[in-house]
Amino acid sequence: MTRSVSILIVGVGNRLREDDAFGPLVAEQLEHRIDDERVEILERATLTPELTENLAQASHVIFLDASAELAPGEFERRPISRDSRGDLALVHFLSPEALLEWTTRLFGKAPSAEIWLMGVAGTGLSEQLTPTVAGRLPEVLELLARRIQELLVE
Amino acid sequence: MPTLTIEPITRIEGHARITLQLSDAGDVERAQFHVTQLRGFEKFCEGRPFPEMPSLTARTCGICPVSHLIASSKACDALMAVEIPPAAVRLRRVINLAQLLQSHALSFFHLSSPDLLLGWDSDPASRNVFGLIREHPQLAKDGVRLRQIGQSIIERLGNKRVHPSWIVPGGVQSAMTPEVRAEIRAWLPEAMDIAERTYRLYRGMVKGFKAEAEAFGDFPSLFMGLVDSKGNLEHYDGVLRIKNSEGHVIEAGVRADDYVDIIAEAAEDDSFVKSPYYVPMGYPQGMYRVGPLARLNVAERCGTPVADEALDEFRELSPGRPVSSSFHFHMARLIEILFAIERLEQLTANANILDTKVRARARGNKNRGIGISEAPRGTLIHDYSIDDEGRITGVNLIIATGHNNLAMNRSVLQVARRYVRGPNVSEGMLNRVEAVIRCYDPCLSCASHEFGRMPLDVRFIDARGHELGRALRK
Repeated sequence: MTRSVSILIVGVGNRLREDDAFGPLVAEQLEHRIDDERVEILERATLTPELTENLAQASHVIFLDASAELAPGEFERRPISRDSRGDLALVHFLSPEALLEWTTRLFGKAPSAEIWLMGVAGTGLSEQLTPTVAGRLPEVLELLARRIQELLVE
Repeated sequence: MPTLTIEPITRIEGHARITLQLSDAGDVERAQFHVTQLRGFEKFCEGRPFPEMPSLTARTCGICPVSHLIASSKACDALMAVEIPPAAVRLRRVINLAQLLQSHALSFFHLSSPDLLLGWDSDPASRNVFGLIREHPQLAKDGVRLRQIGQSIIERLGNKRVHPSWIVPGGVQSAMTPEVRAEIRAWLPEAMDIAERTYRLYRGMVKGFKAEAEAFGDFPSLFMGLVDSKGNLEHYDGVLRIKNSEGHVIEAGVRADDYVDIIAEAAEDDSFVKSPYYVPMGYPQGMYRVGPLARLNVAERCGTPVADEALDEFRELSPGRPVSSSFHFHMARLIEILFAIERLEQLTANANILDTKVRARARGNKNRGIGISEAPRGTLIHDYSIDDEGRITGVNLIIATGHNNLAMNRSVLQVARRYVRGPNVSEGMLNRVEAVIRCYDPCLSCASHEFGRMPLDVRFIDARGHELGRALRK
């Protein structure tokens, strides 16, 4: 069910809501590019407590998510750390920071983490990304593959 | 008359509020549980081709989509008038039990344990999962693990944890592979260890909750659930049985097609949840309860050894009669977890589960189809009508939380009368009023579960609408 991995990639989002599918689609395409047992790739509609087991087994995690705060098509990547504020109290869906907090409290450790965000241009009912976000996908995928290689070398 | 409003109610599915009307002396005179969200699935499914219904109605809920897939697919089987292959029945049973396992684990370990293990009056700042991790670290980990096992079984079979499209009219999309069977079976011993450990812990504590058991929805009512041909616990198929609080069976075996003879729905102005009732007794006297407590009350036996042993202990809570306190939903949930794991072991041990004939195909051959199954929270009914082209012309969904609506209102009144004295209401009092709702684990569909300290706005309003006082929990 869970295995020791070096790098965990978690694509978060709803495939039925246009650009909210950014995370799952990047994760899916990454599956076709990366064949390394040290890398685990997951797709989730939301982050839930049982992911703590996966996180506890990893040394580094990258969350891929859509953002309504960024401008459409704007891409941002930044490190994140555990946080005991905000939506810490939620059970059915957690923020990446809260999930790291859960992991630390349950297992006494959590991986280093970063989040990659893509600003959405639309979240309507569609299984297609908007052209704005779809156009950024190859570049993000390339960056991600390179980042994974860097992390594996480290 | 002063009115006390509790909104939002925490650690439940969806949006609701409770209104308590107090007498001038501060005693609770009336209580109402209002569901304040509207979904509208019954209306917007009209006109869709019936094979779409499992996928559409599964979107009713992100927490228990498998339950809707099962009941919906059964309704579609009935529309097609087909008998689905035996392996498909077994596979549907497996995924239904996995759903029950993960849902009950969430309810007990994450949503109710903080109250049960840390106390209703404990500091709300630590009456949450982190308080639980600090005081009971193994139990907190066990909850995560057990839920993960249930979710993983769903994912392996359905290829997705949420909204798998594997369950379809006529059966399932694909057969179980030997690898998946081996993987699932390898998880079950660990799941059983967790379930037995937790059950033993809770069994040792349950007598200490005497006061709560007497106040948290302890009243006579009917109980309803599916039973198999031997009258034993059943979650996928079988017939509806109703028992009264004296333990007499008043409906021995109602088939899905005949459910309208015994269940009707009343609507209230102040809630989007309807109030089903037992037709021969009328509304609201025909109040009944469904879910784990009701299922154990109506069944003769569970039919698996460990769960049956636990069932005997459960029945010691109320010798010779059904267990009438809704507080004991918690213990019933743990017993059903034991049962689910034992049944998963039995089902996956059968070599026939690998049969590759898993789907029957047909067009709509009847104009009405009804599917009934037991969701984690209780009986789930999908009732569809179609035209000759197979387009949906009518939908009625009766979900567990609806069945329990009258009982939840009665429970809120009872616990409020016991614990609430206005206008100086303590946090512990409010928490108990919320906790009695959590006993039912209501699913108001797809909203967030909140855990622990939640904003709470309590207002005392007199008959003229003047605010007498206000208590805020931030």
